[in-house]
Amino acid sequence: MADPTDEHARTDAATTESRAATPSVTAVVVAHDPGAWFEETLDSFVTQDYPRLELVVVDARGQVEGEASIDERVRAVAPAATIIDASDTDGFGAAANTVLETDIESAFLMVCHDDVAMAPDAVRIMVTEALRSNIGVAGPKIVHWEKPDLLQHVGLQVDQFAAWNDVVEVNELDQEQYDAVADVFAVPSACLLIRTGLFATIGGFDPGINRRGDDVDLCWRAQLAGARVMVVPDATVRHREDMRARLGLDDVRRTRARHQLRTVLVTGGRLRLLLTLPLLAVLNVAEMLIALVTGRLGQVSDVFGSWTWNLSRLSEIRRCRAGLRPHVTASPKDLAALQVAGSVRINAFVRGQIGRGTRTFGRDIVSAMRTGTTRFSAIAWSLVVLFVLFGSRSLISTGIPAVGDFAAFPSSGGDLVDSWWSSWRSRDVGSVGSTPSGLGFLGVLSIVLGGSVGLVRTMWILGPIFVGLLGAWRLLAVTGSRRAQIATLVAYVALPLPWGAVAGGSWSTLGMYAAAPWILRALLEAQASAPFRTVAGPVRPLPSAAAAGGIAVGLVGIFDPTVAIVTAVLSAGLVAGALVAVNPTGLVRLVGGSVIAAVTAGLLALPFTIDLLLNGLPWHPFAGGNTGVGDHTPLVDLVRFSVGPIDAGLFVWAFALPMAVPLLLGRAWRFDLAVRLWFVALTSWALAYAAVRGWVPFGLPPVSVLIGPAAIAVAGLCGVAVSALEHDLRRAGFGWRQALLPAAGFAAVIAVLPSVALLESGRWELGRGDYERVLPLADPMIDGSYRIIWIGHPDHLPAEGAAFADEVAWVATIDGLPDITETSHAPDRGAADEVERVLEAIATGETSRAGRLLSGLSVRYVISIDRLAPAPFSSEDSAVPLPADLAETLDTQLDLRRLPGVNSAARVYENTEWTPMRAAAVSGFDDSIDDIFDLGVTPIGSNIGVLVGTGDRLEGALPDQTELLVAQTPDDGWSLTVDGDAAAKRRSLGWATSFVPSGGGDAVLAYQTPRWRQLVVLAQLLMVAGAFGFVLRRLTGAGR
Amino acid sequence: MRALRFIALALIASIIALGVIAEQDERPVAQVASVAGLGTPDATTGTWFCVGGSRPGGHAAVALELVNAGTAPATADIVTVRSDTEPGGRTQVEIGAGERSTVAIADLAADAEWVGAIVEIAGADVVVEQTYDGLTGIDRAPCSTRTAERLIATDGATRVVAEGEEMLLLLLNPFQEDAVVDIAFDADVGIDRLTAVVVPARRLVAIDVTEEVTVASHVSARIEALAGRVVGSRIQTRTGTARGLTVTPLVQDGAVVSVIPSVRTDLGLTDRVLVTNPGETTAEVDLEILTDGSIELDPVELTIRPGRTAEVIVAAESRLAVAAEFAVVARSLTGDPVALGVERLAALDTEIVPGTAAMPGIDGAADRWIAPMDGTSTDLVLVNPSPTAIARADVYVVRPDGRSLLTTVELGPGRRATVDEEVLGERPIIVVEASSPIVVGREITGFTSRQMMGAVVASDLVPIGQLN
Repeated sequence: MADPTDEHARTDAATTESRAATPSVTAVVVAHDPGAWFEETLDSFVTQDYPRLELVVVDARGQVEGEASIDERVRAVAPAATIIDASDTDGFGAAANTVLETDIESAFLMVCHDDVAMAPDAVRIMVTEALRSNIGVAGPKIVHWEKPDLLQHVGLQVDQFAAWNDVVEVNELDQEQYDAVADVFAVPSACLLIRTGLFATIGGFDPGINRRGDDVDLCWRAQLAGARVMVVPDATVRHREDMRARLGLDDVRRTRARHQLRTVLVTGGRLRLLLTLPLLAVLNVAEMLIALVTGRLGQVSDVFGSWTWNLSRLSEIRRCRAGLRPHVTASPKDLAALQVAGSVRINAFVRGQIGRGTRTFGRDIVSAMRTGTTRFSAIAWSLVVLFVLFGSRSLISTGIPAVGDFAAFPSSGGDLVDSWWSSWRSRDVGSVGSTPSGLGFLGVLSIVLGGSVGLVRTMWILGPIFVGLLGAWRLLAVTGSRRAQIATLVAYVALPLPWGAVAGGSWSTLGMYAAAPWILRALLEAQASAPFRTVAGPVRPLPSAAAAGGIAVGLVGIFDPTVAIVTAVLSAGLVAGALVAVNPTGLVRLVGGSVIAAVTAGLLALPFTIDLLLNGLPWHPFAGGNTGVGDHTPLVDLVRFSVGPIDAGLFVWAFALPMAVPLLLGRAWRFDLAVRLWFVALTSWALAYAAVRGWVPFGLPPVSVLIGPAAIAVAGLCGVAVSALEHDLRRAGFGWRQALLPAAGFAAVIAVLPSVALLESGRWELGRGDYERVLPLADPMIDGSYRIIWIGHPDHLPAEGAAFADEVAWVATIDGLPDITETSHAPDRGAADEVERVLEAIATGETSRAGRLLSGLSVRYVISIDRLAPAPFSSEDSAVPLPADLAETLDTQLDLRRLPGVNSAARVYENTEWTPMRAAAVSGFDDSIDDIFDLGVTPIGSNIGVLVGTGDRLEGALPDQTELLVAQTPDDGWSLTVDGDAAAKRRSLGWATSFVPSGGGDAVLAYQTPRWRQLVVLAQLLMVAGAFGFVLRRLTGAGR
Repeated sequence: MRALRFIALALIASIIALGVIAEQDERPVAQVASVAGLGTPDATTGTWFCVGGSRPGGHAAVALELVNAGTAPATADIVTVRSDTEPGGRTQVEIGAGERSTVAIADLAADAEWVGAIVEIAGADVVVEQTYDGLTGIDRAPCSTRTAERLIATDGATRVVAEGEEMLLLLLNPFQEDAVVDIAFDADVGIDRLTAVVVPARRLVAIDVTEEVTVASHVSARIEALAGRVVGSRIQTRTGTARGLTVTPLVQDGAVVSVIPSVRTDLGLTDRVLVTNPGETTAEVDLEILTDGSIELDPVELTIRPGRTAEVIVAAESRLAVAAEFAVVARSLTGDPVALGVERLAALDTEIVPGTAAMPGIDGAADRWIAPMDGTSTDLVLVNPSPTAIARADVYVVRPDGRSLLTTVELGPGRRATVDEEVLGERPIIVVEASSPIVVGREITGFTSRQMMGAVVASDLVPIGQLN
């Protein structure tokens, strides 16, 4: 056995020899109340095989009474270590910098946290590589303290905004995949080797950065000074990295945001900052918006606070910049080459590394993608999204014409917000009521998007399709079968319903398409029958499920209330299905959930709900201009979802096979759910069929809306079919059931073909033009504002019509085609009855002086349209002409002039005796006119049009000695001031208002929205924001 | 599980089957009576289009007669429509209850060759008719209450030299935009066509058919509006073996079923029933004979080619001669609308009152009619075209001091009755109220002239074809 004393002597001699040949290294360990591991940390330095290593421990916290001092703990392990008291400093960087205040002579500094444990050869390897590769800053491979086979850091990726992210994935297994020495932009401050001269030159760490980001800042400045930053993976360091727990403070987001911005401000050149800072501001605003709608107010505060924090330290930043400038030798281009292109934060967000408390999401995605079904899901979703986008390419690139429900938007988002804020509705003859609240939100969105109203309109029209597809995807998520989800998704996108809705300009149908899957899922969850129930009980509490359904209804209902019908259809279908399946589980919950959903939806659409209640719960807002009379839509078209201008073709029948599979094959919940979905579909089709047969004594929404629940039921059945094939086919003995699998697969392929065939046009057969350019309407600026009465089939009118005759509805607009704010019905119809009296007289041939009668309503044009879009943008086959007798009575009015040369899809009659909507007339102009019908004998006296325009505030000059006839529903909210003096007002023409000013001058006609209505709107705003947050949190899983 | 599966499948299949069965039922298509599509004048509308005539001294000097059969005074606003480019005149007339008022519209447009009028009535039960006074006779015709895109003159003649026959068409466009019409003539001497005839807005156009289709003993005309709508009448003068003036409203659109209330087989009278097929396909038409019930006659069957006119000379149909007078119902078996008319000639060399008369078929029935009578001898003809209903008709006379019941007539299904001058009195304003829709016509005989025309509807109008 060798003498250990001799052995020690030999080692000492070798060490002495080695010390003379190697540069000295000072290990700087910044200790801040370290835990029990600290001794192991210190020991790892003591046992390094590097001969010229000096240990300096910086005590960043100082002595605390009752606790063992750092000094004692260090001395116990490393008696030769130097201890520096840095308790007056704040943060790691400032504490580490104190080493510069000592007479340090070593060539390298090894700056470390107090929770690392170096491998015995780590310092040697790093110094050796630093010398070989001329490295300025070197970092080791950092692994987990407890599980050294898991990687923690192998350098950092950094973008131009100083945001960083790890090169490695979270908890990535070390398989030596990163074991090559490589240039990186930064290495973590947990352990880094830096040349002492470089450290001194750049002033060490930025003392203004107390934690997080200090390493990025240091490395950035080192590189500006011409140093190279590399990772040396052969050197290994274990790291605990539990700063959050040690500090008892979760300020990761706040400190990162502040310090990133500070680094950008300190290191960026002036010209570069001009580009970088605005971009960073935009990213921050976007992040704040997302955080706002997802209810992460803390994140909003942190991001916003990063700017205020830095702005309050501008002088300090300026000093730092000044100190750095003399040492900058690298060009921005050199640095940019090492930076990550784009935004590290956006990448991290996509990877799920932002917005969550843990960093597991990215890993989940990665691991999930490695499974076949998930990869299949990703492919399916990619194809579905591509299908929709490709099929809509022309709509996206060339715009969507203003036809049907797809009305034009006002010129600015502000106008949308204004109309939302005001309670005056100008459509028809004016009334008091709320504009659909969703439009206000669209206005806000367009403002946020920089005023891009067109983009918002395209999103408004195509967005519901994606919302519906997402809902279809999630419908059967509870089953745990990705294949079932994919089948549901693909079936839902393959049904012709949404494409017929686009072709027919029916937003109501698209809204229903968006809402139906979510409502169905919510009701199924509320019912809590398997698979929406586990052995532990319902997968979701009743209030939560019902509220989700209500939110789905409400968020679509704030654009179009007709979707409320869907809830009733779905509930009825589920009840019927449960009874047939002899599984009454949760029926009471279902009914209760439906009620809660209805109440929730009512609250979300609060202004509309209040209007409904104030007006005695009228039905017309839900009827879509239909009277309840039947039409000729055959049953097969309803079942094939062949509504609108698109012919679905025969292949759609192929859906019948997958729909039948769970009935024939399913067991347990597959069969039960299939029966319920079948009855949802049957209920939906039955109601639609009753509507087209005229069996319902009142008007119902368009049939394309009524069959919406059937669409999601059909798609859901396809999903359940897949589940049945997965679970139940293997239990069945060999026989005819085995043939179902290939047959259903073949049928699915066949069923998809009709929708694929629609891809060709790139616009789902929607015409390219609208009536805007083809109607020869007068400029209201010349003679004054006027009304237009549109008459035609309810599906073809440019706004929701009021039923007038069988398959004929009317709507009145001002100065041209309506914009989106005028399309929907208000519960209060104002004086619309006056219009209908006149129209009735025309239709029955009681008058040949319709023009005179209509003059009292300021109608200048009566336009009947036969088709959704003018020729050649619509097919003559789709025309629904005005009933011949009505057309004849219009043709035979003595004071309506049918304008020649108008597009063949429209008949335009100009009223030769019209009166402007706001007419200045001499006193007595309406003498002996107590009723509209008196105008047949006594026309309105001479007048001129004034105060041209629309909206609830109009300004202009009013001639002296005139009264102002305002031909709209009277309301106390309207007032006229002339040169600041309020004018008296009186009833005129039996229905309108005449203001009687004391003289002429500058007139302001304005409407004052009642304060309580504005409060209601604000309340609704809060509720909708909350609902949005609820939805997004559910989608992102943040609420779980 | 198996039983449950069976039940569910059976239920779903049953519901689907129910849907399929329900779909087999024919859907009820609302048979809305296209009131506006009827050519019968309707006193409930309030606006009258009077095609008018010539200025004094012309073919047919026109005046308006406004007849108030109501119980309250009424006001009429009259705007003249001229054939030249001068603006029309305007006047207002008050008509007392139970009174008549005559307006010489030719005086309102004295320098116009042709003048018509648009009359707007504020008041109920007012009828506007036109009276004509020409060199060849006098006539009377109701104004129209509607315009049309298709007008038909079932007959006319242009043998100027041989028979002194002249035929004119008057077209009035009361609207604000120009109308353009094509006119197709079908004559015994051949066919002819006038294309793109513009009838300017609020103007009257006279077309001298005698110039277009010469020396024809039978001319029918079909007027198709390419743009706009018009109202029209035919002026026929005769100075040959028969002498007279007939101003006949043109048939508007035609009808599947229409009625001529009175056709006679009296010695010396030549009644010709004319049926024009304005459509594009051959029409099969039955002329049903409705009598007072004393005799039953089989219908006359006609096959009429597109665009052609079939003529039935009543006197030449010996089997019809057994009935002295009857009504004719023209029923298009193929469903194609046809135009029905009747022409009456009373030769000068007979002992009866000479003259000519004509009227278009009446295509609507109603339970209330107004019939201003005139002449020295007047007959009111009541026809019940319903195949099932029995109609009880009360005949009132309206005077300024009120109205009184003259008589009550009961009409069986498909029956006809006449109320003669002895009951009616002199120039009465007659109101007929029936328990179910009927058709009322008038026959007026003056000293030297004859007139025949329908009465004016004063209640809801029902297409005769829908009376079943």
